[in-house]
Amino acid sequence: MLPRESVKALSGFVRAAAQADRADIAVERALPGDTGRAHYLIAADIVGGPMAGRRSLVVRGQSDDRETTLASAEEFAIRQVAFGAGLTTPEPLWLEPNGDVLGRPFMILRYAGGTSDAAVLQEELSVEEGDRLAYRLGQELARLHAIRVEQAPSGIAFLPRPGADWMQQRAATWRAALDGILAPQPCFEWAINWIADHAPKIERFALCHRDLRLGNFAAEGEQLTGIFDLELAGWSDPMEDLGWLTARGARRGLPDREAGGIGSREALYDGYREIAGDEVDDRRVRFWEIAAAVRQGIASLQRAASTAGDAELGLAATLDGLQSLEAEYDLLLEIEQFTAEAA
Amino acid sequence: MARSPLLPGSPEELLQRAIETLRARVLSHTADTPDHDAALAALRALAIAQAELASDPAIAGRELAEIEGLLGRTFDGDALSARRALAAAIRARSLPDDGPTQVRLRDHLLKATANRLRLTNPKYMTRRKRRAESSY
Repeated sequence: MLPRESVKALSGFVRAAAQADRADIAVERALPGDTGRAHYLIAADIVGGPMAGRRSLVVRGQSDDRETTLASAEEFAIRQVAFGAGLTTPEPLWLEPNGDVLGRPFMILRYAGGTSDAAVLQEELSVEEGDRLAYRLGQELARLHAIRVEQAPSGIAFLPRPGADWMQQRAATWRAALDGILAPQPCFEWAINWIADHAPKIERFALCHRDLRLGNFAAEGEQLTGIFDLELAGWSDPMEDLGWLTARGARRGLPDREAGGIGSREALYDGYREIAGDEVDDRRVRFWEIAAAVRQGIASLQRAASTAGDAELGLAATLDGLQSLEAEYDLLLEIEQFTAEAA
Repeated sequence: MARSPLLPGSPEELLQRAIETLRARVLSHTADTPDHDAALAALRALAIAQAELASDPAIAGRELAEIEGLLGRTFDGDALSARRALAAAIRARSLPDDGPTQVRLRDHLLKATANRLRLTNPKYMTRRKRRAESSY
């Protein structure tokens, strides 16, 4: 939990940001997220100003992982653009970009409610409810993808535009990640070559979430309350977001619910089509499922490597790292199937 | 000279007893506590160690021979160096790009992954309703 002096500093920040006469903050609970990241639900009693009243807010600190994730200021800008485009995501209220208040940058968001607990959602949703939530997720992705690279809002001009070699750059990033892992990974090396050789030609790049899966959205029953964690967002093939969600590794214990372990692939596609107006390119989605297996597998190996010196965390992370074998198995079978379908 | 065991029973039997004791005497007491996940992780680690002890020792030799066949060189029993060399050759695209070599490579990768997955999560392949079959 936040120390008392941080709560006091946060109260001062909220008071100033909300143009209030006074703001009293109480930390209600820590929210799930990366270890080392400040992530709290707070109750703010705001006196005076346009936000006067008792507000449930979220304090979201900048991630420690500055190699692969965006800075708070960048994520905040993307959240503003996405919120403005109609994405169901907690309203981004204020940014502290300098680390002057809590020792690291953070943003404050309106609390969305609902649960993001994967086990709860998977257990509670019937097949029909899951399909309706998957349909909604498809609609949401289509709203986000309406933000095209060629009409990029100036607020997110910092996002690098994909060049002709964008997939080769992705492959280089994955290979660099493998270089940081002690054990050799011939299977992932082989899959990265395959992906680089079979990258689809992308007609239009759009703003993509790049990490929409169980745990990164909240719902009350089948009602979506918010999409979170836009810290990996960037320009990409819109089908990547669909493939990331339908990848086998994103389904947790419900592999038959192909849309993220929540609902059917058809429901997800139908929701997407309803807003985007475009047909979903299923083959391209399948390509991105293979790429997702590589991303997920390498991420598992990295988590295991990063906690290798910690006896307790290290054991859990080492076991987590073994999930890379499931990703390997998935991608070997899926590449075989993808190739067979092309023949 | 064969080492005499420090405790009665083989390593496999000791592991089995440790797993049974943890399940019967520890796991139930950790339910709804922060230690539950750690207890489950410890049990899973023991189960993997048990599966590894019980696995066919010839598998590692066959895997090494496949890599040696693909790379056309020997590694004097050093499986880790062989895997490292295979990974480097794949990245460098130095293996012949002909169909038979690529099929052998893909088969080797599938078998090697399946062999490991059988130890760590044997249900996974069953759930996928696929077996690691050779296509050559």
